[in-house]
Amino acid sequence: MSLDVRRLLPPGTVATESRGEALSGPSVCAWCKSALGSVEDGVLWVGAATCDQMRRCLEFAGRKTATPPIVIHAPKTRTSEAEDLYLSELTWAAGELERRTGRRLDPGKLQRSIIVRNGLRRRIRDLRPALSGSDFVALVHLDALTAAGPMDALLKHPPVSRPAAPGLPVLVAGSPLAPGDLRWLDLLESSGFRIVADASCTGDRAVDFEVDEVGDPLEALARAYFRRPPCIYIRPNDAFYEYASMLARNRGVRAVIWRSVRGCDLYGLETKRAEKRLGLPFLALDMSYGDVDSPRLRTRVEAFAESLR
Amino acid sequence: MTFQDPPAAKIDFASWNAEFRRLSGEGRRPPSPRASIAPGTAALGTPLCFVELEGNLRLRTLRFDNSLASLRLWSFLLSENDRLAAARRAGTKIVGTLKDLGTVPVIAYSSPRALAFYPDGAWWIPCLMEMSEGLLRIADAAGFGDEACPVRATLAAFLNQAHFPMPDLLVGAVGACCDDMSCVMQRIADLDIPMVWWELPYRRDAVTPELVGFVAREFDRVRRAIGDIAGDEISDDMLAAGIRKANVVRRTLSRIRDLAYSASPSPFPALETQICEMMALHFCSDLDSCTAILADVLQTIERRIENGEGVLPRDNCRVVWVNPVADLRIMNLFEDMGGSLAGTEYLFRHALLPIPEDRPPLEALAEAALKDPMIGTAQYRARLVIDEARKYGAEGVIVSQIPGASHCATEGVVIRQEVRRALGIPVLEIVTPPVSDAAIGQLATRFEGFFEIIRSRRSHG
Repeated sequence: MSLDVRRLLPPGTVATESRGEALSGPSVCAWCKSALGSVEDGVLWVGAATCDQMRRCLEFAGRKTATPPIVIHAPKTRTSEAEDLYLSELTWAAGELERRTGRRLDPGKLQRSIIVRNGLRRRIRDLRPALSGSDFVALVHLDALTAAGPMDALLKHPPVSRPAAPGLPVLVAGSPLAPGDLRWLDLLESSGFRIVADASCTGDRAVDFEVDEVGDPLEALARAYFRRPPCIYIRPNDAFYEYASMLARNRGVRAVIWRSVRGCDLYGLETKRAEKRLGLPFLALDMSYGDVDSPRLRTRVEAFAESLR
Repeated sequence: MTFQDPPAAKIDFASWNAEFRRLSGEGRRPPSPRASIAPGTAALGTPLCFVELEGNLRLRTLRFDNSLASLRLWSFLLSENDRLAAARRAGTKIVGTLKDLGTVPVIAYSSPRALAFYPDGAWWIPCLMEMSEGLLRIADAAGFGDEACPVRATLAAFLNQAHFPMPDLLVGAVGACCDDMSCVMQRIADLDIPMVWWELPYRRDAVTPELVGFVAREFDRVRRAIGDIAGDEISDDMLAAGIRKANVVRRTLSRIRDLAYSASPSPFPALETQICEMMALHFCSDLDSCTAILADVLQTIERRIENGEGVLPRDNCRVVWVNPVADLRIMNLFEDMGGSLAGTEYLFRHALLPIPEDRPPLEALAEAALKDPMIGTAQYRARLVIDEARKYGAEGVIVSQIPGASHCATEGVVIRQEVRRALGIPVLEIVTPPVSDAAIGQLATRFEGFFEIIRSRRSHG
């Protein structure tokens, strides 16, 4: 549609979290607060009702910008009916975007975009073993924020990355990581861990799938996103754990670091169950963006590393 | 037995006990699942259940309506576990319905061999038992601490298996539901009770035919699952009959609400009307008795209005109440400080609306479920509050936040903004924990201040 599209990616800073809290309330999750705290006027928000807080955050953002958001339902069950519902939701969103912007969705362009994006995800997957945990997530963030052309150019000549440092191989999982959280990943890697797998929404799951490049492109998108490694919000969420366990097995993971942003029920309330399901030494952290590299946190992480030596 | 209601008033626990002793044995029939009870006959569920606390310590601090209808209502509410146990003994299959609030039970009750109840209702146990039962401690140990909604007590009740019989089947609605409840359901699903998940989609501005078709297909899966455990298929005709019976309850409730929220002085207290509304969810495990008990409440309210009787001063401030309270005592406090209900929005408006009887039953049920105020925007819910305030002439709105509930994190702000814009009446936001004794002082002050504002507006326009 030739629209200027930016992925909603909260900065994950104390300042945006505070601004968002002033707009909404203290009980909102830190991710949504940070997103709300960085809302720009005149922006049309398009999003999915993934968790309850996100859907309400989208409504809230629309109220702030005086532009009603386009919100689709993200099914929580994994039946064929739910998959069809998701397709109909995406189709509705495309039509709504056309109506609101006056642009037409060109299936040919969409198909080309799918091909390019598939290539970008493949390239990121190929680079992944050589990257530090924070550089990998930074690439995932960039992929979400950057138009296909510049991203393609960047990946053809990637900036020099710090190689993955030696350390105890861990799986990171939990709430999505904001740019501000990269410091937290650095903290982990400077405390004796090597992040070899990331089951958060901004980790391996974000690039570990392909969209069918033939056939109706909108349908291909819907099927691919519905069938990709799922978020923890699906019910039942066994497939999430199967994916995380597969990552852990294949990459020699020795421990799990489970991190929820403050107020995120879907990951926070799942902590005990995750420890049992994943069956590995487990560190659970519940953090706001003010904590990402605090001395208190470093002490906990280092103590966990020590306990595993 | 003849029991003449005294003049309408609110009485305390000890006074009710004294009144209770005046009732003859005739009025104290043991529970009889699905027995028809003629309005005006006192059927108290488990005999003495109201007199003997049975662990429900909170009753000692509450004030109750003094009518026989109210006593029957309370007894019916408090004896639900006895009915469930009796039903289990009689071979009836118990369906535990999670989240959807009002629709799946209609499917279950359409089978003569199944009944439905809401384990979610366990969120009131910590209040009723004043934490003596330890459910919130159990939930905390399971990883559901204070950051989660009090509905976490439901998970604990499943873990300690001491508060209701374990269901034969669980039906969980997920999709556009609150995050806390979704997590509670996921944990309960680990307990090896057969479970059906169904998708409750996000509703944008309207209930579209596509969404109705989708949910109808989801309900068809639910219907087959209930039919399978009950041992008999639930036909469309059985569903249609079930809908008609549910509508009797909904129509009665509609009349109760209209009278209770519009009449002055208020003919029935806030606490008891809240319980009446809750009956719409799953009929407290006995649809026939529920119908009769609500009819009795309605008769009582009608009689009081005819006689000009009420339970509150005529000049109490008329307020729309938003969200159910985890601590029942708050509804007493609200009235004691000068409030009177003029409308409610307890999260389940869809369970109060008549289910269409002129279309295929699964579609009718889908349409009803899709009117759930929790699956749309907060703005939609604010509109319900505004409509309610207009309908019953409210002078203010109180949003009672449920601590830790994901929807409460932002909803109150939206409701406040919309109500002020549309009606210009004051809005008070409070937070009500399961046992609010420690907060009673500040809540009383806040109610007092709020009602002062309303009275000042009366005087000065």
